[in-house]
Amino acid sequence: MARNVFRRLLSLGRGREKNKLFSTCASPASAAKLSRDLAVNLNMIRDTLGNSMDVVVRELLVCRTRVALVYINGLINETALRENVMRALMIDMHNVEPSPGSGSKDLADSVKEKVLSIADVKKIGDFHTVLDGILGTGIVLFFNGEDTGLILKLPGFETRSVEEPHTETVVRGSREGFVEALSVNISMLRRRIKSPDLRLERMQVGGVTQTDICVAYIKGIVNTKLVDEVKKRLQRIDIDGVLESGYLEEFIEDAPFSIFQTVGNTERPDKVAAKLLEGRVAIFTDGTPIVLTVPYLYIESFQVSEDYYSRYIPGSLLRMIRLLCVIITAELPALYVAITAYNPEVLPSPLLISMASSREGVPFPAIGEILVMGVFFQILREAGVRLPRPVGLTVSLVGALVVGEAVVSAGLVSAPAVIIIALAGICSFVVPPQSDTNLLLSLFFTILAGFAGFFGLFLGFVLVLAHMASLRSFGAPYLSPAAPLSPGDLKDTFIRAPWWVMTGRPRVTGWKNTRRAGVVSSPSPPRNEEKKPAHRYKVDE
Amino acid sequence: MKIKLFLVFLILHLFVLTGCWNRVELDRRAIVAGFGADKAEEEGKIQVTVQVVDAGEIKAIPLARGGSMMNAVTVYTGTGFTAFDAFRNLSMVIGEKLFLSEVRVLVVGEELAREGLDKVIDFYERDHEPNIRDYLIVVKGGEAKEVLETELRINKIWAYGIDSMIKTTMAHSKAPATEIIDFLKAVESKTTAPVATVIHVLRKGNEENAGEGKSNQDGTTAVQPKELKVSETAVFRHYKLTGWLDEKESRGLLWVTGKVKSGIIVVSSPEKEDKLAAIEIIRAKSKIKPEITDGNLIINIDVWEEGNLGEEQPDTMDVSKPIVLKELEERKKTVIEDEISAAVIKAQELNADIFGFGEAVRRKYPREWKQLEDQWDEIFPTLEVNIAVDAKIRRTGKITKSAEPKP
Amino acid sequence: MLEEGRISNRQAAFLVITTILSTTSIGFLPSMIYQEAAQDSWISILLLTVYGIVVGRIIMSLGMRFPDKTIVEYAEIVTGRIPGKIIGFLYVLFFLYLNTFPIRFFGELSITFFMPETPLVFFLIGIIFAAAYAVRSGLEVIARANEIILPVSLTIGIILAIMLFPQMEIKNFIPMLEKGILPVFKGTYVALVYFAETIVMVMFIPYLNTTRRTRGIIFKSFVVISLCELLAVVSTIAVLGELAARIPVPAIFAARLVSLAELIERVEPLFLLLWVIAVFVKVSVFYYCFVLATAQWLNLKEYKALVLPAGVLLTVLSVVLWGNIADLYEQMVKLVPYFVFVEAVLPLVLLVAACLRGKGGTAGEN
Repeated sequence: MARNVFRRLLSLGRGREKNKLFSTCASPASAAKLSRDLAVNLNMIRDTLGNSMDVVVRELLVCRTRVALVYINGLINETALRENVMRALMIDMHNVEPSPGSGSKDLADSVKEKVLSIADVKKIGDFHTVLDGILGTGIVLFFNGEDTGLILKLPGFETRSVEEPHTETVVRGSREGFVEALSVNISMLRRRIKSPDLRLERMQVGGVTQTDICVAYIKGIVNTKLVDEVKKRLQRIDIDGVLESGYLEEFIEDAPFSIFQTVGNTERPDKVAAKLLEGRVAIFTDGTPIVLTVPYLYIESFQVSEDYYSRYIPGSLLRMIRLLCVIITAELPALYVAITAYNPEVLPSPLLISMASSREGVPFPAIGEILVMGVFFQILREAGVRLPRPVGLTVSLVGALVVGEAVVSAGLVSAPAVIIIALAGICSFVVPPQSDTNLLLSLFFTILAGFAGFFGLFLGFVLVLAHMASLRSFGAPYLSPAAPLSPGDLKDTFIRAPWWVMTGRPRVTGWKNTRRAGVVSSPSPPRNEEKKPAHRYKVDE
Repeated sequence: MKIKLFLVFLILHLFVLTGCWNRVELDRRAIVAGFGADKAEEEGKIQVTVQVVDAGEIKAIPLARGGSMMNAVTVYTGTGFTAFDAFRNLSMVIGEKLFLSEVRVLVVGEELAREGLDKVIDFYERDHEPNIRDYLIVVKGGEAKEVLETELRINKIWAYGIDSMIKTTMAHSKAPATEIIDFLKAVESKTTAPVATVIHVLRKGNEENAGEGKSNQDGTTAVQPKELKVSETAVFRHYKLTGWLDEKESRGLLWVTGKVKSGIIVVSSPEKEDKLAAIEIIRAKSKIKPEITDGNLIINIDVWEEGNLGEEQPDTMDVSKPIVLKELEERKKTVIEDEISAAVIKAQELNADIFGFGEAVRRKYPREWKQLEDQWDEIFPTLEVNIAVDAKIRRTGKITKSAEPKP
Repeated sequence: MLEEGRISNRQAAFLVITTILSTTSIGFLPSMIYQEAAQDSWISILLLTVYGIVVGRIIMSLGMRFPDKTIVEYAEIVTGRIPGKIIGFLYVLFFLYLNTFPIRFFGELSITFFMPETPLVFFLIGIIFAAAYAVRSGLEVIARANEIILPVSLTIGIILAIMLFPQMEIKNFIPMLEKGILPVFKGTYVALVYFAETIVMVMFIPYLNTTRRTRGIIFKSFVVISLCELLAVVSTIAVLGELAARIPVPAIFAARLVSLAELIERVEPLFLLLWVIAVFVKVSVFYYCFVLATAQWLNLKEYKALVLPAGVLLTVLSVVLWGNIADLYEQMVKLVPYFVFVEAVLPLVLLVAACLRGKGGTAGEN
């Protein structure tokens, strides 16, 4: 059903591809070429950009030719501009040979090749690239009398420094997290994967924002069809602005109506590198530290970087605990409702009588209690996130302790309900990517349990399971490797097998190239070596 | 497309309009702890008594701090033509829906037991709430109503106290602990006679005091000076009560069926006949071996038992000597054999195969059983039964001889 | 193709296992077998396994002659147009009708043991709705959901059996063959229908993603089925003894008897979970076969549009066909010959006809 709707959405997109609402250039003058007249060029610039206060036009005289620098203040590196460009043009130019009579045709070339001590210099010939350059982090050099200009890339904007990611902290492992600048993020990835097969392809989305994005993959491991599909879906995006990778996510995901996310995201470079090594594709977006990864399987939300860096036994245990927490969050409130309202005999007698007495005098039915407390809990959580830090702490404290206690004493809600909601809430934070999903799931299950007890609850399970079984993320079935069963890959799901056991990439992402490690690499004490006695000090030598 | 939407709409209405039929909030259920059935005063009617837990009172001040125990349960009684009917009629008195899943004991008065338990048990099996693993007890010389109205101090919820008492029969093994399912299994077999635990109501003090007591909320009186005692066995034929086994015979029954878990055997000391010793039973096993020789059926009962010496009345007996222990073992053996014979004799008197001899024969000699089955009523009372007991004493406790005043 | 999905051999085997096991081991079958065979019911199970394997092989051999067609399509090839259409129609009806039994039974069970005042329709619609969602999503979805459901069910089943261990008595099995061997055979009568439910494979064969090593599907699934059935039947007899004859669903009764340290008692909801997920798969499988067969019989392009009307039809039939549970039992027994004909005899006939007339590839699968 969802697929049908999605298809319809896609066809909308397809039809309009030819006449997209937002083409990549904003003005009709885009295709025009530069003129030889400097004044004309500068006028074009002024018209297009208006009188923005940060656009700087600096005119110079270089070898008796009028030259203009156009740049946007704040985007470029002022020091480099002064030292490498202005000084070079004004002072060092004299060391260069062009004779005044040879015409300014070669001026651009000479400047480029001999004078400017800047790494990234290109020749440009049309306005589209000029605007791109200025609005990117570049300085454009116009020469009077030439119809080509130079664009110098000198990025120098303010950006956040690399710090620990807020959402994905680990005890053991790298503390680096992505930042908002695309170039910095890419450099972090490059440092981790030095293979020449790492491919980083640039694209731009967003008609007005012209946001730079980068599609990263490792050639030879990844399935080329996957890369093509990713690029195809990105190109289809037709919107005025892309401010965060979340926008992209909603445009490219396979099941827009499902509560389960089928596109992964992360803030950690080591995680992205690991996923690329498994044959996935990553999408970087300028302006956000969150990087998307596709395909995304359900099991990935339980895999945390730390699992792989710490030892495998505690890692496996923790993973199972995470799984348990997800189950608790989604099902405990519903179980409470089902048991108290429909089938109390499941509980051992003392517990049952104890619960019956706690519920004495409570005006709400069990389902009402859970819903009320659930809403209250979400309000607390949201308030805690939005308020500035010192106040936020007070709010949570007040809310949790005082109000929770007061509510029970006043007899509005029974104590077990508060405990259940609190437990479910805490467990929902154990697996952050799932917390929204679990909230919705627990709501769904609770309502079903309220209507039909255990039967409703179990029916809900089955429906959710069927739904999850029908999801695919860019072709990979959402529930692999449990369903369809691929036993070799189960080593990294509920448990985390030691590294020397995980010799293959997951089948769904690795495709043909599934071997990633040598076969016999389990650690063992050295064999066939002479047993040397340890620490025998020969005294008489 | 429109039809689909319409249908989905309809289905959703099912959820909203009709409501949830089986949802009963927990605090609006009357949790029944004990269920009792008696013959009603009116002819042909059954009287049902339920002991309902007052959930709110459970959380009240615990006994240690001076709280009162009186009001943790309330007892209600109702009558009807059948057990189910009477049960529903109880709602005339109680405002809440009765919840039978937490019942632990089914108490039946003697009169009703004589008429037949079939009047009660079918309801218990068929309805989905009661659990047939609850204990079945018969009140000797009294009514289930009385039993359920007796206050017990072991547990705030009196019926659960009765449940504890039945569980502790294993401490003395002088009464069986029968669950309803055991009863049913016996009824279904053609030859085995069902048994049930017996409970007595002991009236302490004067009869005049029996009527006094504090009132409960609904006006029934919980009469305090009464006590309950669980011992002895009730013997049935199919569903009807036919006789009793006293304490000694009950233990004999348990020896044969291998259900003795613990208990005390008293023997007289080998050296001085008037001094007694008490031996604690640690474990016991039994095997029933039928044998057909020359067309005659003989039942052999083999019992193995192990015990520890728990007490001796001081005399010169020195139990560190193996000879002394051997003598004690012999005496113990005699006692056990005695108890078993008493049980067999009584069972044969009542013509009730409470031990399951018939089933044992059936398992070993299926072909012969086909003929014997129908005549079991005649065969059983005259069966030859051989009893072989192997009793051992393993340990003697912390001391060997008790402190003795030096002459 | 009507269905574009593909399933693996393992997924197919899992589907067969769940389909057969769901109504048998945890349903009414142990009781029905016990009524005839008493303590020798486990021998009946062994006999039934042999029967199941034989029938399964016949069905697979027939299907492998036409690896890319379902029975509705190749019936016409083998027997000609008109008889083929009749046979196809027979199977369409069969899938529909056989499906109503577990649906109705499931409803009755839920009401009796869990929610007595709820109207039957509620449960029926619930399970049919869930099955409809799965069927509409396609064969792959049913197969994948089952890959999770089957291991979970088996685990729960084994745990239940372990929890019942204290209550088991070997005495209940002796004497063996008390009444001779005939009751053992009689006990297998009703189960003949259920152990031949491998017939659903005729609809799946075109969608297997490999045509090699398909023989293993039947054999491996029956090993598992047999073991689980034995476990179920043996546990039932061991715990309940003669009571098993008069309890329609012994497994749930046994679940009620579980008592571990007085803490874990009355574990019926666990049992309900088992029931819901297992019956869901079975109903989805038959529902899917029905819808697919109908679409093929009518030469339609897509089967998805049929899902909802089929669901309504199923619901109505499940309600209307029987007045009360006694009717249900009676019909189950009376209709055994007809079902067995469609499940076992007809494929054999078709296979023989196909061999004789030289239709269909052999691919060495015979």
